[in-house]
Amino acid sequence: MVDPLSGRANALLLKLLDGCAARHRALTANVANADTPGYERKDVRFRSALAEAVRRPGVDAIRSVSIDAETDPHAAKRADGNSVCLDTEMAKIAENRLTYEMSVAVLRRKIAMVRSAITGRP
Amino acid sequence: MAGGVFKAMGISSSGMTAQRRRMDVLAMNLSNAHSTRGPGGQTYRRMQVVFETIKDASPAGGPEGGVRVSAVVPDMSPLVRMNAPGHPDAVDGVVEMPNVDPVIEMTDLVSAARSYEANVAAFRASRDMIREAIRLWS
Repeated sequence: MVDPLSGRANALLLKLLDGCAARHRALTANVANADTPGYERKDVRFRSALAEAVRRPGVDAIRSVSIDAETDPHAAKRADGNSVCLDTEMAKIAENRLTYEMSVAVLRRKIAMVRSAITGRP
Repeated sequence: MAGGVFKAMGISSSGMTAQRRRMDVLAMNLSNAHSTRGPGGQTYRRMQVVFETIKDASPAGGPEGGVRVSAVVPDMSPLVRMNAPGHPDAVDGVVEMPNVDPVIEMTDLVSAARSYEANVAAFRASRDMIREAIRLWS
């Protein structure tokens, strides 16, 4: 029987939620430090690693994807050594939030499926 | 899971607090732009805030990754010398006025207000994400 609340699809959704939460934390820290001299922007790059893990079999590949915040070496620095651009951070926050909401929406669908199986109502 | 987003709210509020302190100092500079008798009886010097990233979380210091005002230091650039023989604080007809340029303070004030708003927007995004996760149960 297919269990709708476990397995690979669920591991992927939970990793997406965790990754988006970690990325949101890194991006808000960037916004808070937009005027701190010498601060280098941080980001969580997990999407490509996650896409790679999905192609491999098993749940462990997905679960072991790293969601640690890392310093972004490519961002251009201002004269005071700070590499935060407020507009791009806000755009990234909006984009990241949509990914998060999308994951929540899919998860909600799955929970609704289980609920309808329990109650027998659609 | 959602703990990450809750922590983001703390980081955003540390940004709001720091920007508000910056605005306080800017307002102090503007109102003292002509004070020849500042703290200690000397001519007022422009004050500046120093921002610092919080590296170790502590209850008093704020969340790790956030920002705090680590110091408020005087700007030691030269004071403005003005010829005013009638001024009570004049020495040999010259009075030293504060090194406050209202134009610089005002532009800085706009920048601080924008940064504050950005932190508010980030805070709202965190709040909506948590709300979205709560709705999983309804």
